[in-house]
Amino acid sequence: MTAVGGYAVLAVMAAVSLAVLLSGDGMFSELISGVRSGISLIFRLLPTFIIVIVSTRMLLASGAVDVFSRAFSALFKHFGIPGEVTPIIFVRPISSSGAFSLLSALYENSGADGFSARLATVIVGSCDAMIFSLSLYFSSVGIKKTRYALPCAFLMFGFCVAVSVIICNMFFG
Amino acid sequence: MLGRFFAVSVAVSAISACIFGNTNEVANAVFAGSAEAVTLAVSMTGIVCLWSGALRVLDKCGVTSVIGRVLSPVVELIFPSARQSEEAREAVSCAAAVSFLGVGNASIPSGVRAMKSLSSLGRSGERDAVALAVLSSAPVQLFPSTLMAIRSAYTANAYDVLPAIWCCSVTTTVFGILLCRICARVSE
Repeated sequence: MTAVGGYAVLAVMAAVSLAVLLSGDGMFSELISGVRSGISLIFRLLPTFIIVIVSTRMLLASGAVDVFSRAFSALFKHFGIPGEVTPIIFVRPISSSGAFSLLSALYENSGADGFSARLATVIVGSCDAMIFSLSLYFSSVGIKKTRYALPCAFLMFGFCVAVSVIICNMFFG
Repeated sequence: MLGRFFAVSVAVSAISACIFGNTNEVANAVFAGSAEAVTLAVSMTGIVCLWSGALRVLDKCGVTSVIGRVLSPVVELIFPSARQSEEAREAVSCAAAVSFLGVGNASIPSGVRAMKSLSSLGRSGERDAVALAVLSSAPVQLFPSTLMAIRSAYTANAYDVLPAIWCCSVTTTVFGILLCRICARVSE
């Protein structure tokens, strides 16, 4: 967390301390009760975490993801996506930590400055683990009917991969 | 959604585990995955609690309403129902600002609050809440901190991918906004 993120965190902490300093005990008890509300938020989210992480870990361990990425890698090569990037594309929507460890392995094996390493970085950097973040946001407010959310997120991810390929070819090609 | 995803992924993993002989690995993944979920929740508890507290203090002293006023043109364009309530406008603006900074799990409290205030605004609010969740699956981040930390370990010019990431995520977000609009129109 360097540069801008670091300054933003410091600015927030400074603003909070200033508010507590200027308005005294009332503001400090607001701070404490706000912090306490975070605990109930975590408690509310924990069941979702367990379900999402267990099901995604099972998918990864079963080899199903490998089969998909092997099946699609020939097709993806036609669109300019190198074979070593394909597994990352399949893991990214279901697991952040999985995608990060594949990415480190790719850096390790083929260097961090090659085209495929950069393409993989752009893909991983411009989207999130969609299953996790969708479930987190919907379960936090108890929305059960998510309507078109998952198909939309999938289409968005596909679009993101396509745009990454185009942009990486323009920037680093 | 999550229920169906859970059922399908467990079924797919069970079948492919039997085909490829990975039954032990999958069984281990059940135990390791549930432990990992608790570890994750515990490890993010500190920052989520602290940020919930900071958010409440910034609320009380008017900082969030300033952010809300500054970002309202953009927020109201993307989430039309935020026009109905000042609270929703502030909550969504805050969530957008925090997520833009790329501070990882610290963005959860503000995101959850934005979801809550949008989904309390009736039908159009719920539609915008769905859009917010979809857009959060591909957030525009000024500085994706975890990713840059990993990349810095392997190369001296780790930040050279940032412009490409910004271009890509902004384009994807615009696409996502249009997609959600179209889906909302069609489903109603």
